[in-house]
Amino acid sequence: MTIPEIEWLSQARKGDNDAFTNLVEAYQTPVYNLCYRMLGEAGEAEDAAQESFWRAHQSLSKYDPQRPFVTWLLSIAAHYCIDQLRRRRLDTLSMDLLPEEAIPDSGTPTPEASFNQTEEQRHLRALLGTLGPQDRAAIIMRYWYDLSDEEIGQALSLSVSAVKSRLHRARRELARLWLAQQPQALTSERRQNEAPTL
Amino acid sequence: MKHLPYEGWLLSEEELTVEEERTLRMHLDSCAACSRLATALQAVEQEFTTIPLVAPAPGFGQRWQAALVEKTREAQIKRQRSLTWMFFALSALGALTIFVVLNLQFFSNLPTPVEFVTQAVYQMSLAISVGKSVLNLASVIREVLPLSIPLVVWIDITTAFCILCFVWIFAIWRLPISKRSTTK
Ligand SMILES: [Zn+2]
Repeated sequence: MTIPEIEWLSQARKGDNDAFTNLVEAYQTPVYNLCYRMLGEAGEAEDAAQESFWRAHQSLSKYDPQRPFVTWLLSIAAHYCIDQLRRRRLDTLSMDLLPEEAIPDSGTPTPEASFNQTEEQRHLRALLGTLGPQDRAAIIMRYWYDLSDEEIGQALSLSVSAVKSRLHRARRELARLWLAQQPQALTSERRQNEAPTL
Repeated sequence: MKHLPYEGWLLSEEELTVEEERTLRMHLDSCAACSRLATALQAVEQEFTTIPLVAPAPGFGQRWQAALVEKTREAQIKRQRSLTWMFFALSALGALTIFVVLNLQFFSNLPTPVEFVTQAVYQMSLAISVGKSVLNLASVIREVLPLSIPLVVWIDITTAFCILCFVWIFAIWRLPISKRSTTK
């Protein structure tokens, strides 16, 4: 956390809504990205991110300053998204079945780069869509936010061993799906007889 | 299973010893299934770690501020509503408690449920008959009273009542004005 952010946080905890809005501006991207990766749809992600900030605003007095603020926000967002996925039974539905819509991009890439990025995002959505809500949250927290097993456990209210087993299972599932999607890429790779770097 | 330690090593993120890494490499050279798994995992991880964070549409902060106003208002209404319900529930509970306490002695004197039901039915019928009698009395008074009072008296009463109403309305109308002038 930067020095102004610490100041905003202390002001927000005293009930200053403008200071909290500054925090919203500062943390909108990590929170929105988690919601977008979890729910796979921009509109739902926007609503989920707004709701997560509202919940954070309402329970700011319960925030433990020893804990990183971003992890606390991500924990609130992840719990909300898991509830949403469970409630809407989206976990039984592949994200491929969701209506195609514009994927928000960060930055302004060239048309070609934009096309590749959109393709990548779609592929990513399909991959993440196969995972259950909690496994999905664990994978997102690991790869996009580089959180440790302990931090993921704290954020998702899971034990460290449960996080490890969820990540283990999720990786197996992602690898299985990746192989099913790209048989040609694999055969060409095998032909090259290239040993994977570990 | 011949893939057992190797598959676990690939899927976990635990650091491998030099010896473990060497045996894993040897296994990957000879096992197509584990080799495929390693390739797929590497590709997935690369895809996940190279794609940047997605930002929301511009104006997220403004939308947040608008939502904050709306949600605070909604929360206030909700709180008021729940307070009203709580007050209502407490009142009902209080009334029930008073009712039970007042009737406790009466109920405790009844040894069997049959007697209790008989008494309850009797009390209810008594209450209904009392209510009916009161209504009858009221209708009799309503019919008899106008005949016994002369018409002139009726006109006087009505006029006095109208004047009183007028004075009352005038007082209500004047009171805030005088208050306002004194505050000025
Ligand atoms: Zn093997």
